[in-house]
Amino acid sequence: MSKVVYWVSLSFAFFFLAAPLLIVLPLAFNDSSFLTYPMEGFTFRWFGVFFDTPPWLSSLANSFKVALGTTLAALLIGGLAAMGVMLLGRWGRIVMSALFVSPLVIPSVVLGVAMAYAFGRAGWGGGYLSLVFAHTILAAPLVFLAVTTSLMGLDPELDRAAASMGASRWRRFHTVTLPLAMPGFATGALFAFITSFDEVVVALFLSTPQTQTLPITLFSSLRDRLEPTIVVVALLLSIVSCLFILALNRLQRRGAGR
Amino acid sequence: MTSLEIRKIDKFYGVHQALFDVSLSIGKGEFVTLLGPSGSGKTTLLKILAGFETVSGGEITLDGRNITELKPEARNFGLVFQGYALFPHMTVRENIAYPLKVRRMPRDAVATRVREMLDLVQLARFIDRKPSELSGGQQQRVALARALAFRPDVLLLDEPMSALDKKLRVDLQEELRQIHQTLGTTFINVTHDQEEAMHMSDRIAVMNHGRIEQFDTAFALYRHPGARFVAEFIGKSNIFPGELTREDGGSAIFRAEGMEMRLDAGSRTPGAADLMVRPEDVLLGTAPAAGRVNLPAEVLGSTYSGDRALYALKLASGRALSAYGAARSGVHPEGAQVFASFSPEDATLIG
Amino acid sequence: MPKLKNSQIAALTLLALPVLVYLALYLAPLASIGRLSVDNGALSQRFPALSARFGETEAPDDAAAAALLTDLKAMARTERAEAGRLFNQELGGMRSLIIDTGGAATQIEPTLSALTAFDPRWGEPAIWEVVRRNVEPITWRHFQRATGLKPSAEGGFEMSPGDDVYLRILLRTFVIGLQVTALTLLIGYPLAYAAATGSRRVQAVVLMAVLLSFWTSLLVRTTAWVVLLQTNGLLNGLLMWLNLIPEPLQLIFNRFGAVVAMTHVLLPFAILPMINVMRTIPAAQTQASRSLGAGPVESFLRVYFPQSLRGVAVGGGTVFILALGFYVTPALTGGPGDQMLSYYIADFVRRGLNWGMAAVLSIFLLVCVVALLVSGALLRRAFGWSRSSAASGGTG
Repeated sequence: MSKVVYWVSLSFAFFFLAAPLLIVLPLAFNDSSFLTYPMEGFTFRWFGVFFDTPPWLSSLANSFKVALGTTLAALLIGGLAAMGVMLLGRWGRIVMSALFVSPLVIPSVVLGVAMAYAFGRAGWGGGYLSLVFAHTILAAPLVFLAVTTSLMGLDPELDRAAASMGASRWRRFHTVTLPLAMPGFATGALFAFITSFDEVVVALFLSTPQTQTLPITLFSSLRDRLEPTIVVVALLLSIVSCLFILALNRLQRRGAGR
Repeated sequence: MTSLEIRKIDKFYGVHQALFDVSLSIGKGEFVTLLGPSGSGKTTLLKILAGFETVSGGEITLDGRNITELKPEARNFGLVFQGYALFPHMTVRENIAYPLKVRRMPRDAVATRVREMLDLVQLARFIDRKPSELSGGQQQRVALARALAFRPDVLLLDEPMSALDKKLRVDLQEELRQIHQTLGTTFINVTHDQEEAMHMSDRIAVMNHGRIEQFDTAFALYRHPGARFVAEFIGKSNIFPGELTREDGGSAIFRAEGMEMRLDAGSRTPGAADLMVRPEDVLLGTAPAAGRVNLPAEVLGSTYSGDRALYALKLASGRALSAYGAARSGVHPEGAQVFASFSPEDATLIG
Repeated sequence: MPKLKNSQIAALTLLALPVLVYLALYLAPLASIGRLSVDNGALSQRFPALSARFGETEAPDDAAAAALLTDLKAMARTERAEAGRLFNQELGGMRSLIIDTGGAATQIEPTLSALTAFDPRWGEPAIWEVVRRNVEPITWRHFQRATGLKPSAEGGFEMSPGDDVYLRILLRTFVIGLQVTALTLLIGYPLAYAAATGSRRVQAVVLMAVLLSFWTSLLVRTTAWVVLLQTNGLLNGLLMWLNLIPEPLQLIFNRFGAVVAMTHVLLPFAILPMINVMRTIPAAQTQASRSLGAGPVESFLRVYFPQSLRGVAVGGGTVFILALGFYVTPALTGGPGDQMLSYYIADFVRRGLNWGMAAVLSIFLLVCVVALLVSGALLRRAFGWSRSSAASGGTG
């Protein structure tokens, strides 16, 4: 009896978790402008619509630009922060870590309002720069966490071994510590990219029609009307997420392999 | 002759004192082992020698040069870690070349030296492997090669064998001994394994509770322990507390419960004294032996190990005594009454 | 020790840039929200003469009228429009009053009677009261509007009926948050249990599904629900095909749609902490309980479930805090009566350009989130759950 309850609830929960995307995404290939089953035939024409109708393609390009800029900036900021915090004492570490991680728990709308106002006053409004700035604050905590985790996992004896062989502090840092923390940086970079690439709320406050990112275009057309192109975009974004998970998996396996 | 001089080192961690007035003179090319139970301060002393811990008092000199405050990277001491500490992102070659590149050695000289070191530890064919692809013993030998590659003035070994199984340990001890003889570098080894210490070392410093109890050769430590701790820590021993008196002629007499004997006590002053007899110096017989100290005893039990048997005995006084006996023709049964005897020449006064 | 000093210098060097960037791009903008919530610079700076006049006396007399006209004359037309817009946020009709009066300012004599003759509304004390309150450099009007509390004539505060609209929205935000939290825990628990204790294959499949969901864009998952739940959508189609319902149900743009979609989006945040905790519960414990004579249900309830509560608490707390700040999902799947605080914050900025109200509501939301985080931390300490096991990160 208890087994039945367990399997029924598990099946329902799993269906709820996994089914929506599996059911909806194939509709990107549906040869009908209605988003319903049964599918009326297989077509790529909605992909054609995506590539031909502005502003889809330009917002995809914008998303890449912003995400790449964010990844670089967040790697620098989050990486420096993680390495600096490792050198602090107990209390310094707690306080500074709290600061660096805190953007994760601030509601995005609040950040959006604050940044739209402050960046506007500073004269950065509207451009790519303001989007990259904002996304850097959202992504740097993830880089910080990833790098901190990998630095904490390092064997302190390795640094001592290098010192005993005559390597200076700087040399030990860039020949031993940094290479071993590389998987952390790579993981952090992935986190930063995907965070920026998928971000909606803050971008809603900061982007202009010229810098509009893909999620923003998707958001506005969802409020406008439902068309198969929307599912095409959802599919493309899901593919990016899948690639991300694959890359993450590879990184973790490589990390565990040695 | 002396190359490494450790003078009056004290080390405090807060109010806890880990080392008390430690002094050692280590000659150039000597193989010295710091031996002691855990918490005896041997690892602390090694870390101070390597430069990873500061001293609270005292100094260390190398060939007359004060190195007490020198940073680890400026000491030119090799260090083999307990967990090997090989760099996982570098191959065997890169690991061994690391200290040479740090010293800006020319590229071809680096290659030659790496080869040389790998030949020394017989791992030449593993040169392009990653450490994770080597066995524990192989990793240990790479760590050794790496620590020796830059011709350090002193090689420090921090319990280098503790993670290996017994068979491998014995092989590696022999190899280490040979490498030491080939290179002539000063080796300082830390271990809690007395067999390892006795097999390899020229001299052993026995440490206990942050102090050096005795610093001497393995033979001297075993036959003439300077302290009760040394007598009990190294090998098995029977210790009789008693009293030493002197006659007018100068010869000394030791008296303990149930025994009295004349022995050579050197210039020792009379008073309370401990007498040590090793179990292998005790003979068991069914009758008293002439010219020896005889003690009637009862066999409590025995452990048979093929070549011999270790007996647990009870003396008439109630004291316990252990003795090795030849066991070729069977062992004395439990409860048997025997005479345990030893020669006064085999007995040593402790301290 | 000289060694310590070296590492401190290194730490400072490394931390200088990140701290500067956080200050400029994060802390300063957040701080500007505090200023925005009470800032009245846009009006007070446009009415310097009137502001100075009210500093001496609050009576609406000829001098006040003169000061008002002086200020209006000094403004460009667009500035008057902007001032009128801001006054209009306070009281309907003010916009036209300010623009009209401003347009004619040069022809009106600087007396109160001439002003009243131009527009009788200038004779009303209530209008002057609004003007007086809004030319001061600091204003509490946004806070008063958000809480519905206004200073009463007898001192103290009063609340007129219907003024608690933003408090109701705050309450609604909490209710939706709780509904979503309860559902995620209910649906997430069996999944977490399977991912922690199931056979190797079940574990792999469930964990993969959870991680895929976790890293798939929130917008994509919301899109899926919009497609599924619409009136001519897949779910209605299925139910009608099964003959369960005669005509399509309204599944979206109401509370049902919002809660279902949010539950799905937040599910991984509940499951991952639960898996972390459940993996630390040794399987031998349940077996021990069975060997001691307890049945499977009793073993689960008395041995396993109490130990897994730590994960339930962490997962539930994470979901609740994230849910409070949600914007995108309810905006796309909820109706007008299911919008949460974030929606109104965004709305004030995007439609009304009313930064003051957006700032005040942001402060409400921030205070709630911070209070929850702090009480969560205190609870954790009280229960001795110091080992952290939360996986967090994500967007609203």
